[in-house]
Amino acid sequence: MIATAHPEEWRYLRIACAFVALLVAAELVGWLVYRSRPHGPSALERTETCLRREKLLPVEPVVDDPIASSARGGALATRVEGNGVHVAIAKSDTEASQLAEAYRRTGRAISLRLEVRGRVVYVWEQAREPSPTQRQTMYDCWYE
Amino acid sequence: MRTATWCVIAAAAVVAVRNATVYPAIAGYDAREALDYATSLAHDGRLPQGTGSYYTPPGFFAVGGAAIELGDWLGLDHPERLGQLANALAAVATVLLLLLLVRLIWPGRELLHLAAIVFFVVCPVAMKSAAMFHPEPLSMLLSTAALVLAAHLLVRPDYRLRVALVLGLSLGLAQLVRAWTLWTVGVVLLVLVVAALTRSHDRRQLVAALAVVAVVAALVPAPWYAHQLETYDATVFGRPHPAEPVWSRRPVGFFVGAGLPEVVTKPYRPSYAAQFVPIAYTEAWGDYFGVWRWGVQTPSPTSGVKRDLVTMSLVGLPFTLLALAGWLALLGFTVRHPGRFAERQLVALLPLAAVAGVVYFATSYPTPDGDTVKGSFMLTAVPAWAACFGFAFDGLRSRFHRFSAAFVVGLVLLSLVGVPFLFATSRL
Repeated sequence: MIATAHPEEWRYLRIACAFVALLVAAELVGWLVYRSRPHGPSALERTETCLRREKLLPVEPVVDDPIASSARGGALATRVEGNGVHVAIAKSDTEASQLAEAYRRTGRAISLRLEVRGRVVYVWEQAREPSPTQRQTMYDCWYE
Repeated sequence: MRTATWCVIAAAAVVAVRNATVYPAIAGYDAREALDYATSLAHDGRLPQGTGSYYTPPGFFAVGGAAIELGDWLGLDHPERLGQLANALAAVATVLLLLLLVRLIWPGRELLHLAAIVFFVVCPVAMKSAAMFHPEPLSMLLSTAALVLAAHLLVRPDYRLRVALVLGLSLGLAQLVRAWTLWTVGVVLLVLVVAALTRSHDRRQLVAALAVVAVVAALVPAPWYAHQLETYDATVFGRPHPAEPVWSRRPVGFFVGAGLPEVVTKPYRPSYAAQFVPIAYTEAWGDYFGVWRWGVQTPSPTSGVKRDLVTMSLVGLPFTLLALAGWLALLGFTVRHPGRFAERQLVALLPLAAVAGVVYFATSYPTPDGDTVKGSFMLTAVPAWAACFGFAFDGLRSRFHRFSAAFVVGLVLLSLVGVPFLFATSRL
């Protein structure tokens, strides 16, 4: 003989299920509201602040680089240990891939100088791979 | 139903033992520290001096160290495998104790028993820890043993000195394995106090049993606490923490953030690194930190692994939401009727204490990568969560009995989807 739940249990379980459903709904609504409003500094602003304040690097707007300038999250230029780098911040992984592809189509030995990390695309100035410390400096200020 | 339950337990035992022989010990949580601790303890009989896991009690490392010695003596290439095997056996013993616990609390409700066992087996946090060289599975075993003994004491009722002594001993030994078991001690003592206050007819026997349990549970780990206090000026976790007040060490988003949508679409590091719930959830139901399917040789998950992690995030949702509902229902019942079904309070209060403890720890010691929010920190509460899930599952099935078959089929299908993730790989 298999025992079944006592009717009194259902009273508590029903309230608990309703509470859990409310909790899930509140999280979903909270997320939708959060997503629909701008909040806090953008990835570009945080990257710029980090490079200036923590790495003490010069930060300038990107010029003569239409691909980086087209990034929906913005772009900036800086110089790490003598090697210039353009940072283009995409709004999605797909956009980051598209930016990288656009750079590859330009040729100019781009494969060594181009890096994609999440939604951030880095293009280094010198025609060789960036050194580990140059790369790490930029990764320390990686926001997306 | 009973046969199905035993089949699930047998299958879990096979997988756990197999995983212990496949999973590389060095890939587990804090593996280097754990192996060094155990080796040093076995070779020289020395505790770590302010390095590695010096704040962790030596219970598991004594067992693990002996296992490594035995493995060396047997000429094994990886002697630490015997320590992992001990953990696998601890996890299997915990499943058996969980079955005893739910049978004691809800006798005759075989579908509840089956659902609880399925939850425990399918939730990857238990199988992951069982494959590692880490103290958590042993602490989970001792904590669950204490719950079973306390439930036995209250349900039968059986206030014999022998029962109280063994209960106190299991609580004391649990503290000698992992400090997280302190909340099991608190919960068991609190439930016994409430029972003593509400059961007037056998109050004297209950108070006597309570006193024995409390004294033994305090005496057994006392030498360890004395050593820690003398050496580090702290009994539990003598690590420095930020100077600011504990309530301002984490932003509000840390406590209320659900990590949407990444908790499903990108359930791995570094997503939602500053949010408690999604890290705990995806580490319990997947591999957030990269210790099971990725992380050692592959710094980010491959596309196949990402697919597996997303699948597990989805599989875990109905299990977690039902467990949450069952827990809240039991908690509500406990608060409204403290004098009835005292044994149910054990499974209602343990998750609450576990969550409170881990939230406090993660808040006290904030890290940028969420390292202090590991799902395994709440491993001792997993059997209680499993019981809560079983309670909710069986309650819903009883209420909507016309859909009983659909409930059972849903449980089977969800479990089958999650099973492949339980198998450890040798390369990750």
